[in-house]
Amino acid sequence: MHPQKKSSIKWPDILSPLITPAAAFISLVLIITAVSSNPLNTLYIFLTSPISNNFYLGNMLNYAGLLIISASGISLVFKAGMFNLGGEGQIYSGVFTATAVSIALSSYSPFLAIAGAITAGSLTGAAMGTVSGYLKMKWNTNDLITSFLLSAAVIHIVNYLITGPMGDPASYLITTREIPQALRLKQFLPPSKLNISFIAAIIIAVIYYIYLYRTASGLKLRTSGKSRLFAIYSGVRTEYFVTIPFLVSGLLNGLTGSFASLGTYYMCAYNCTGGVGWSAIAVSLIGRNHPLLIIPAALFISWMESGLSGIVLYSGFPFELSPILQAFVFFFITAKFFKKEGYGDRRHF
Amino acid sequence: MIEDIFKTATPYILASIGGLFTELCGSLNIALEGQILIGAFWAIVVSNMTGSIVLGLLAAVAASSLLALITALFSFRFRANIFISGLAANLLAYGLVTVFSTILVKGGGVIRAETAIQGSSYFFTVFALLLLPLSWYVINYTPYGMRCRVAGLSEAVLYYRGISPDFYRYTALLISGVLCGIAGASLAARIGAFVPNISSGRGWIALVAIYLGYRKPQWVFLSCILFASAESLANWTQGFIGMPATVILALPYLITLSVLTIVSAVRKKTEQR
Repeated sequence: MHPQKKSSIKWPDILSPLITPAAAFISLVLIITAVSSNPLNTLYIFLTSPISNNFYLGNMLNYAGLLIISASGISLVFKAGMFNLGGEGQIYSGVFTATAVSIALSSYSPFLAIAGAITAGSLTGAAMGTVSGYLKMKWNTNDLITSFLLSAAVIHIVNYLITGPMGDPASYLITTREIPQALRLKQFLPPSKLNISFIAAIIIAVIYYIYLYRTASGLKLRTSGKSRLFAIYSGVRTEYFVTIPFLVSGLLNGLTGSFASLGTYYMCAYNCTGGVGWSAIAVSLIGRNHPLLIIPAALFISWMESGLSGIVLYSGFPFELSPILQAFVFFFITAKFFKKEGYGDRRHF
Repeated sequence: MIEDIFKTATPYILASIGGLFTELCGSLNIALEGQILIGAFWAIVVSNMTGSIVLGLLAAVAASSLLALITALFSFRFRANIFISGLAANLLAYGLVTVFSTILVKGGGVIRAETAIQGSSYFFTVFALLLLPLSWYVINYTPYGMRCRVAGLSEAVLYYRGISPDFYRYTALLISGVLCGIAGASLAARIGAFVPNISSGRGWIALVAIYLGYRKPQWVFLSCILFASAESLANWTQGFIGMPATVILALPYLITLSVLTIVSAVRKKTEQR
């Protein structure tokens, strides 16, 4: 038996995952202080409004649940060594399909309608993910760009459908019709939107953890993500770990959209997802793509975003800062502040 | 018709030549979209405030270059993934434009130009046309262009010759910042206003033009003309077919996606041969 090497505490390893949330948080505080007319009050609302009562607490947890499901999908593709930047479009199209299917099936039994809606929403996302994965496998097309572009195009197409053919002419919003009361997911903590999807999210994260770290297939996926050549020489059929992670990732994003439609929005309104997909990428990156670390990361981002909408509502803060929050997270997250690396280790196109 | 095509092509040409430099030195900047957006915004706001079109143009260039510098700082100094930081720059541009349009222009939304900026759109087209021979010369016949290309092919070569590849990466990103700022200003000048989402996918089309043009300025230029013709034609025929405007917004992304797929398929085929 080899003697175990005594492990010394490496500060960079402990500190670097915390840099991004800390930097994002400090930047937000600085911006709020600079812009707000009453900074202390605004900061107080920013920090406490997400937990001030059942309504906000429930909604924050509900949003965190959606982020966990979507971020699990995003991180699966990261773990397989690729990028899925199409979360936003996959979720949005999931919301749209789930809404349309649940309304179409509303004359049948509620169980059938809900199951049908969730299946249809998930499959829409899965189809979009599969396109990027297949193109990557077949022709090595850049997955990061294809998933982003497909998502951007689909967002406009969904926008077209809800403005025109599928729109609700009776509503003053640009939206589809509302989902009937009977088909909406039951609220755990009324009046907040917290529902079964939060529990599903935790279960998905745990299953994902078991898959990734306790099964042979998960090991193969991680190996082909770390080094494709090494995986090939170890006898892993790497082509399976290109399309399928993308398919599952799209499926999870579509599922996020279905849950959001049946449990949160109850319709597909214009731009209703408003950046959930981008936040999920931020969550996955903050959680270092680890299935269980994604949970606290989702709570952090959900808290920040709820606080940001809280100050818009209550302190008359003039604008939504969440795109800037996402931007800060993305800037800091892959930056390396401690390690000095040599030449030749950058990803190229 | 021809005049219309060249005017439509102006922002494409400016942005894609800027992006070409970053692609040549191996650090493709995907933040062209955000840089155009922020350039268009500051061009209108500052020219409205000062009454001077030149100052508006300078502000557009400064804002867009600043965004490029931030991207460069994170990507090269702190070794962040350039695509993720490019994405961050796009989000930041979008967020900042919302913030500043609320602070500076009460109400936000569409900002009309109060100066005669529309009259200056000829200048931008002429500049874009002059850029073709200029970039062709710089890329092919100057030490700077040569080293840029070497930085993309093998940074180790530059490194061991005692030349910093990072210098070329920084300056290439800065060039893309300056040119995208001008592209944004040209876009705003043509419309005579700033409207939210004014860039509407043009930065992504510019990226495709780089690929379609095989990274050669003359072919990149021709690809831009091709896209501009398609856009003019689409606008022109829109009245006949009755294609909804929201679907047209999806076209730049779908075109980019198809071209990228075709290019990679062709590349794969030629590699196998």
